[in-house]
Amino acid sequence: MILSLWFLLIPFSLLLVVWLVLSIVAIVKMLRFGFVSRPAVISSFAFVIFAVAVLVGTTVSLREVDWSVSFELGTPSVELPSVNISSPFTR
Amino acid sequence: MKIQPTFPNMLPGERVVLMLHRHGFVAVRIALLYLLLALVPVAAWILLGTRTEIFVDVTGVGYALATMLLSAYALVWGLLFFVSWLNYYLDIWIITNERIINITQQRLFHRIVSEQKLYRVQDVTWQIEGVLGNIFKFGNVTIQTAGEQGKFTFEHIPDPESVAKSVMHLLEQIENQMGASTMAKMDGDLLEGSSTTKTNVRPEPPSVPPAGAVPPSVKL
Repeated sequence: MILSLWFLLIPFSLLLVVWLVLSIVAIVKMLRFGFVSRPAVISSFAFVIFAVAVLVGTTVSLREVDWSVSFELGTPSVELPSVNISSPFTR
Repeated sequence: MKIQPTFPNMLPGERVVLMLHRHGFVAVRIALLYLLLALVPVAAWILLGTRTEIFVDVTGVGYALATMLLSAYALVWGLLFFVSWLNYYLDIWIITNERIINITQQRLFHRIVSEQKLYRVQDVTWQIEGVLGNIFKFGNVTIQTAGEQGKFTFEHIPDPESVAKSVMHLLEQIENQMGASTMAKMDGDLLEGSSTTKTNVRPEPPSVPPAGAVPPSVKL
């Protein structure tokens, strides 16, 4: 089966959406139930900075990729050596 | 000037005596685990960079796949670390001059809050277990109450002995204010569960006016 490289972006995007929802929920919970204290604010801020850094780095890295390139699923990339097995019951 | 800590839905005249989190050693243990997990993508990045040519051709399939996998790992790692920190930090035990509040954040979508009036406390037990507990002086305080939530356990808190003494001191103050006979009568009513509890006016403990400056209110 031949697929274009951009097909890999679909599961990655789904992961990003789920991750974003859970991250927002976690930050809201921390700020709401952490009584807006210094550790709660600092940890939330640090998490946001880290997440933005990873997303920016990923975007920059993937910008150079040629998404129109195709790849084939199911074809092994390594050639297996052929093996001859002769049955002991044949003459 | 020391600012009195506050939390939402405080009663009139209520002041915070203790606001406790788990000992920092628990947070350090979580951090060490995630530090080990953070080494996995770093090792993978170094191995892929030195043993393969994936990062040489930036337009290829291998580069795109490796980048997306490493990015996904980093994002999930960051989220799980933050959620673990959240579960640690949002476990709070609050002791005021009027009640005990036990807040437990079990998971991201699971939070348990229970509270009990201080005059219903019947027994206070503290314990320190293990070598690390004795070195870093953290342990558990268990408070037995006469209510539906019979037992409050403060887990892995620093200096459990002084926390237990603070609770006992507060109970003595309440007993002095209300009188021992009134306390015994209330205990008897609670044990019997009789209908007289509905008709008898059970005196609420007098609220102690907050000492010092008026604390700032916390907005959600």
